[in-house]
Amino acid sequence: MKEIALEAHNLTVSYHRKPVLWNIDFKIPAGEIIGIMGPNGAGKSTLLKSIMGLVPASSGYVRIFNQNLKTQRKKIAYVPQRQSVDWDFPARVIDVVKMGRYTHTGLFRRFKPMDYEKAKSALEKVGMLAFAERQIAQLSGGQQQRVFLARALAQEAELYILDEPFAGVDAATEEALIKIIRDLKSQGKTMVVVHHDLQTCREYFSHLVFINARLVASGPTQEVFTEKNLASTYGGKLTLLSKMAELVAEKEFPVREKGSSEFKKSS
Amino acid sequence: MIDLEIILTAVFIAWACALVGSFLVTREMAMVGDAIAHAVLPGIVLAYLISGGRDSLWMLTGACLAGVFVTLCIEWVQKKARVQSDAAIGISYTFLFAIGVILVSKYGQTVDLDQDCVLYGEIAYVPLDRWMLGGLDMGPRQTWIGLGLFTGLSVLIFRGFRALTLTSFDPSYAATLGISVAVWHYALMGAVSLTTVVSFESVGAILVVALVVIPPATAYLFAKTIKNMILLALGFSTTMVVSGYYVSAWLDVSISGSMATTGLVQFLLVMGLKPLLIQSEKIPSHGLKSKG
Amino acid sequence: MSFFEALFQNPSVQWVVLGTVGLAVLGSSVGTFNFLQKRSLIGDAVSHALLPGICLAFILKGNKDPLALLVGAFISGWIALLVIDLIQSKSKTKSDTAIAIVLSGFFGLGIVFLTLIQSSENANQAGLDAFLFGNAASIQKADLLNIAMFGSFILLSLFLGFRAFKALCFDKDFIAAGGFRVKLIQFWLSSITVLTICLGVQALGVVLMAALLITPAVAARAWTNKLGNLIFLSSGIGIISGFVGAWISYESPSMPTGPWVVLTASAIVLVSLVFSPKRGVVPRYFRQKANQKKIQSENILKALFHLEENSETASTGYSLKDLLSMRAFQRDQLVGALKALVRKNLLLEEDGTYSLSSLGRQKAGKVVRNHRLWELYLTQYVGMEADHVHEDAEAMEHLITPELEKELSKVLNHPEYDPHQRQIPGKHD
Repeated sequence: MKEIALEAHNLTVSYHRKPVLWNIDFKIPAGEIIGIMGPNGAGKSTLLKSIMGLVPASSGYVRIFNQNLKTQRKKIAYVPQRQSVDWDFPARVIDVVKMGRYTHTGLFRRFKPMDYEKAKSALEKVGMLAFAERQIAQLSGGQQQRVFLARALAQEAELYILDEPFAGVDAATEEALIKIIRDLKSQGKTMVVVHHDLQTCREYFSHLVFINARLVASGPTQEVFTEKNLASTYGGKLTLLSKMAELVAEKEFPVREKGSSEFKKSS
Repeated sequence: MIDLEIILTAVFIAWACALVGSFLVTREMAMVGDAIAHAVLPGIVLAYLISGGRDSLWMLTGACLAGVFVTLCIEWVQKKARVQSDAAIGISYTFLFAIGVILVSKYGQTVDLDQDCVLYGEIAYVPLDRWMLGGLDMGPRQTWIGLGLFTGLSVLIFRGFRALTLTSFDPSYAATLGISVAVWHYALMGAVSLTTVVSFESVGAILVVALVVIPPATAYLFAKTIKNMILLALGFSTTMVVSGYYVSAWLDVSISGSMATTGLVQFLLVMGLKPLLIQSEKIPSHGLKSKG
Repeated sequence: MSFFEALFQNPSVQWVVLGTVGLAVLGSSVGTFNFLQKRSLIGDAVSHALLPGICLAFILKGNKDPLALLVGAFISGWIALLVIDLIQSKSKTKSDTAIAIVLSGFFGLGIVFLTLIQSSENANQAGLDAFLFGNAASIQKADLLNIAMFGSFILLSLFLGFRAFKALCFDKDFIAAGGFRVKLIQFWLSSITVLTICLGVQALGVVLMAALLITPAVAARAWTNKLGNLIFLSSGIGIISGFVGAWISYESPSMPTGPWVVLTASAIVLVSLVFSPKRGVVPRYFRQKANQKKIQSENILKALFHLEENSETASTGYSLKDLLSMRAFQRDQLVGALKALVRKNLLLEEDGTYSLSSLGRQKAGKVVRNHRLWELYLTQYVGMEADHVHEDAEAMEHLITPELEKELSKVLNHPEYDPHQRQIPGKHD
């Protein structure tokens, strides 16, 4: 078996006290392109945020290359949804990409010539070098997405986590992005991509994770891309599960009991 | 000479305000700045009462604590009591300001602070309060304090530049790099409180807001980078303060009021003229721009 | 003379109290709509921005004619609103910055005018700076008439336009079909907001008038979800605050009224946010405590149920040690909880051993049933492995309501065994 790049174990995540992900359990092999698929509101972004430690888990844990996130920060790069920031912010393209080097330089050390080079080459890879001095407010949606990817590239990570990189970008950008993703894969990097176009997912991803509030299936694409899995992922919510989620939020009930894992076998 | 002393003091204070204000404006926290400016009032009065003087470090810390306290209040009301943010700001600072006004009415005599001072500040009296060093007149005390504040904040902003910029632009990405968003948030809030307290004596509570918000907002209209924005804001705050001073001397009106007015006029002028200025360097591929 | 004697005898005290209370009602009811529209801080900016208009009206008119000042304030408030909109639509400036710019800039201009008036040595100027901090004691009969006249107009507008304003706050899309109407309704609401602030600013002051638009609405929101109730409650809170404020400033004349009105309202908001049954922090804490208690007692019942289930022969009772072997209870908490359960007739105690009463067994059976049904649901519908479902069921068993339990049972086709092949109790009842 290949090395495991990312493992979610019994991960339950709540948002405003309401569970949005229930007991998610999967392992992702290193060096593959993995698609995370699910309908709107399935908790895909929340899953990524929880992996990145931005949203605390109510139970379970995430391991990156079999270790805690804290020790692995340098190995993991996050590409948030581009709508998550205000692009009116006064910054040039190169300034944003340079932020990716902070994992190496820290907050206070000066940039070395090498850091500038790496930022520039990241921009070159996404085809945006000519735009380095451009103000970010003047970018198109596709260009914004490329800049975000370049920032992650500048981090030189092992594992890349991309939140809906193809949402609302033009066809040329989508093609360019997938090419970069494949290049990175060929260099042995692991690429985790949230996506929701069923048409292209078989072509793009070697592994798939289907979620809709719970894990429906995860595994190699040819094994899990089945009618049955698609139906249970996209065939609407599980009513009882949603009702329980509402109830947990309404009654302000804990999602886990204290110390419940200690006596596992007694029920 | 007196003109120069007043102008210099105002410029230093305005620069300090522009430094912290630049980050408040890009973080969409201008009204939090307004809240802090009002909330330091009770802090100042209480610290006067406890320490019995206005020179002490006591006063500074007391008032700063009040400033940070209001941001904590806002956060508590928003997160724990689940009230929308604009209302959370509104109820928190009016509450503290009300306490401040009551304290001023009750103890204003004892602490040598009246309602006029709260509003107008006493920048006209800056030259009266000298800093004597071994019998040597070093100039007005407030001028040195303003310079000290500006220098201190410059160091903070310079050292924390990457963190402040990144946590302003993309806080969740910053967190994934292991940068503590909360630490830098409170560092900035502390700096805003400190700036407000020090400026308070000179320009009054409400007009501090003008210095904190208007020059950075003017710079924001066309600054290309945050560095650029800070430098422009320093420039705009200088013109605002200097022109404001001369207008006030000409009309014989409140100095701080006049500065706020020139700030507003300057902002509206820049906003109105911007299309004309930018036209010439318009980038050809502008058609690509899309609303994020 | 005490405040209450004065209230009945002294007309000028009556004016002050009536005026303050009236303003509080207007501010809090109009403010409710602004609060719901998330435009609270705009009211703050407008309130600061009245000052130049007031001063200019005074300069033009030469005296403090209340009506003239009101007109000046109104125009200046509206200009401020327009400038805020203009800044946001013509540049990338964000709303909070636009508000702060207008608030401080207009206020600065007001101060300029005010000092201009002061240096002109107009004998009538005394008391103009009341606008800054408010001076309710200065409410005269003429002011009261203004408040009454414009106030009834504002309240009437609110009453007649109630449905339109409600739609504006909650369902803009619904009326957006005719875009003009939205603009008209918004214009109307903004106008009465500005008017309210204009009326109140002299008595309460700039900042504290802004508070009156926000604080009572937030307090009321903690208690009710219905718009009608919200407005009445918010007005009620406004009345109390206004009355208390007037009272205190009567008792100590050096005190300005505005801050006491706001302080009273702030106290009410604090109490509301902390204690209101639905949203309050303290009731929430107790709800969570109660949840914990429910969880614990159900766990005890369940542990005894399992002990009974596992033992071959019917035992008379189980000791603390037996219970502790089932689950990591905290010993002293367990003792207390056991006593409580005995009191509720759910447990029987004999010589320090405990057994389930028939009522207790029934209840424990339900919990176990919930647990096993949920485990089965998780494996069958959620697609989880049988060895991963326990922890989740361990929490959810306490939460599943009888209705959900029925639904689960139906969806699972009234099963007899859980994923671990243990019998699901209580199918028959």
